[in-house]
Amino acid sequence: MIHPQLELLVTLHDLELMIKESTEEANKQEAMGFKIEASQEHLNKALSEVEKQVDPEILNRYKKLKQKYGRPVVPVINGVCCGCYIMMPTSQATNVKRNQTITNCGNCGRFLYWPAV
Amino acid sequence: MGSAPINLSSILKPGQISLNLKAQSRDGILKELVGQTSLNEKAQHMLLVNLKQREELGSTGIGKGVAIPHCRSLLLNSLSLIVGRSKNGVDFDAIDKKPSRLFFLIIAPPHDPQNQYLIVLGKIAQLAKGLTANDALFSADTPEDFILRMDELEKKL
Repeated sequence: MIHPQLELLVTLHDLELMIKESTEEANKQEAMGFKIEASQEHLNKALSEVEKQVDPEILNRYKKLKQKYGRPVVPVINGVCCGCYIMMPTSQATNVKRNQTITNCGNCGRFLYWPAV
Repeated sequence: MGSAPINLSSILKPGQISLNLKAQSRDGILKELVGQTSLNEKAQHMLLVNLKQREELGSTGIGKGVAIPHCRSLLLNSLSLIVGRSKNGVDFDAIDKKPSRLFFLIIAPPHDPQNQYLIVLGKIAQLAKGLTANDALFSADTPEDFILRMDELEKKL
């Protein structure tokens, strides 16, 4: 199971990444043969719908981290925070309740997500 | 030091190829493809929503019966390539307006230092452009045959 607020943060992150890449990489993707609509209106709308559901305190922290680092939610791979590349303390890295609670990196503060292999 | 070249046929595993997709709609095809990933049900749902958003941005049906749905997501920690084939084809709002029969689903993590995502996406798009309607990819009987044919096509790129 994934914590409902973490689910929203992951959704928010993925949507923001899609908006960013559809702007920055539109030329590359169009050269490959994909259509990219100029309007991202539906993505921005989806983004604001998700934001409305996030706990205001968590959203505030998310936005501050985004301002500071660009990517406020990062994966944990092999016990390492992929934001600051610091090894998690064993207690956190082996936490069986990963993704079931909202966890932040003890070093950089980014929100952590344990992806599927 | 340069990174090793990416070989599509080595990324693709037989268990990630489904040669008989049943769905009759775009969303149904996406759901079947996502069902082939290692994700749990909740994560599959999240990924599906993400892929639908990407399709709204512009169809990934690049013509010649091929569609390449793709996105980046935190849900997976390595690049995932899933292949599906539909016998009759499905309307994917493709550039040439023809039904899409062959689907390559590409999901990449945001953390992708070698930029495998764009390389794989570009290779498959290039490979698709060289396909003919009678290509063996549309008729391969088994996932293993499919991978062999992919390998042959890739060598010609």
